[in-house]
Amino acid sequence: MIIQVRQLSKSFDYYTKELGLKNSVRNLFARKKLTKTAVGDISFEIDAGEMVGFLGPNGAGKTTTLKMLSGILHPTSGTASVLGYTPWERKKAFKMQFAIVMGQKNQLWWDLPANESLYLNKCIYEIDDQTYAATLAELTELLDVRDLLNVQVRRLSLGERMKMELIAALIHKPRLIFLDEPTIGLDIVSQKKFREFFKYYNQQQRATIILTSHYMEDVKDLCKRTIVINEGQIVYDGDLGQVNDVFAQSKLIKVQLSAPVSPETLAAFGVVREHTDVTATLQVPRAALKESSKIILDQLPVTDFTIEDIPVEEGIAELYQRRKHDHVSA
Amino acid sequence: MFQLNVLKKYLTTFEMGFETALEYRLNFAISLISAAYPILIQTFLWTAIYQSTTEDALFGYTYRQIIAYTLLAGIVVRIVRTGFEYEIMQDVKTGKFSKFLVQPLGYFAYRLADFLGQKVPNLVMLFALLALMLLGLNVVWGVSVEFGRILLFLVTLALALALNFVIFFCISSIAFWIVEIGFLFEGVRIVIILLSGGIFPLEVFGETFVRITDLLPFKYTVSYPINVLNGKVAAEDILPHMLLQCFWIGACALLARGLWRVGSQRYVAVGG
Repeated sequence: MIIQVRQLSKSFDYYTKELGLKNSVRNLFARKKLTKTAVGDISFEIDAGEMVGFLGPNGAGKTTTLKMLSGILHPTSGTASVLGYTPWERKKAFKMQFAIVMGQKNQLWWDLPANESLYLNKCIYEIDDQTYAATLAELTELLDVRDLLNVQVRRLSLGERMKMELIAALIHKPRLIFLDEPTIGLDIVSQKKFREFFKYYNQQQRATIILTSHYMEDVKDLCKRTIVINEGQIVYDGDLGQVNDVFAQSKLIKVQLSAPVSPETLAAFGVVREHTDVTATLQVPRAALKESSKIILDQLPVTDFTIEDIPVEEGIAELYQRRKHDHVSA
Repeated sequence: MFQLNVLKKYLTTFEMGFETALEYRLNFAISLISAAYPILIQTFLWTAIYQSTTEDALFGYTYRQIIAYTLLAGIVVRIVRTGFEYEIMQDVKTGKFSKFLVQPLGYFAYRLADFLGQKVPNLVMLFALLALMLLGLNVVWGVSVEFGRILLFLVTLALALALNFVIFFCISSIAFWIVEIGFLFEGVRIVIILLSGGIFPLEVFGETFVRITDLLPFKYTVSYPINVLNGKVAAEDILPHMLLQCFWIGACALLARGLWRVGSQRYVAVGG
């Protein structure tokens, strides 16, 4: 086991200000202090070699969790063991074995070519010359940026720069990698390349990778296991493909029709989710799938017929919503 | 071997700072030209003042001495000047400081190495200028400086640079409490330059002022090295003052350590 988290919590203090100058002045003398729980009491375990996705809306606590696991933040309460260390003690031996990549933050020296920053990281992580040369050759080959090593960082495109950032983060061959929104701002082709790279790296190096992303595709494509966080709580932990099994046991039936059918008529066969004159999407209970299909095919002028799962995105959105309702009712 | 590995980190940082400064050499050249203006203005000012008086010396300085002081102060202020505080502010503001928390690297040593690296090309130019100035003073006014004094001046100047680094390292820790502090840095810098004798000799402000600055570290960054060079500091006082300079470096380094410990804990609590 590489990561073990027990009841980890983190809350921040913050201040509010009502609209207007009057309240700005008032705030100078007495501010109302509020506490926000960014992460509340989460527990999970991650094994060596796993590739786990953290999914959740903005402000869910994904980044805060990663920051605690990498030792940047102290938790308010709870314990964590990462690679056998308590991360926020920031032991050198711990730092030597992991890396964190934050999509929006750069560690490369802006005015110098990337290879200078990479060489600095070689020194920082005390890598010997031979290993460094081999790793650098491999990574630049994989990411196809060998020709760009001597170009000033400020002259690189965002995608190229992100690749260099990645090489800088991986040059010491970390056993554990935290990726916080690594594909943010990248175009679709670059996103895909990054995903392929992560997949390959995870398999080749047997590195454990924890990834947060807004892009469902990143997580869907890469991670067998997904931890969904919302409002600081884990709301789902498992295979993303099965996220829909947790609640609504429903399927979608999509039909193409030869003649227009009114939505009222369609409603008799299932919940109408979408419809035009000649197409319709109906949601039916999984248990009644066979029966519903038969009736639809018999009674409607169907020219085409498909059965689909509810998209994962919807399941996730449902999970986000659900948690909010729970809070309201609690 | 272990020690060597650690040293290598900072040597590489030093080199990269050097390279970065070379990227911005034009920027520095322009800043030198702009630095000439206040010196010029002060020269005119002093000339006017000394012409309107019948006394040979004001505040214990003859006309030639005060002009020499003004010129030297203009250069020494540049030599000990920092600039890394803006980089620290950016690191804290943008959260880049987090990177240093997760890497096996000491931030203080890293900043020092980068700062010195960036300083080297500037120092080369400034020292060339200083040599020219001393030569000019010698040729035009026949001002001569003992060779020993020049050596001592260089030693105190190195210590002055170290002292100014730790002073500004303390000041930069404010970044942990106030987000946008660029304006504050400039304000503080002007006050410090004034207190260090970087604009006028400290005697100009009167005895009380001098006594106050004696108790502060700032005069050891500009006024003291110049006074070693121009002979205002008696030979027997040079060593004790140098020790005081070292004392202030130690004291400010300790203060910086404390401020940074508290500050980075705050950073960790608030989240970058």
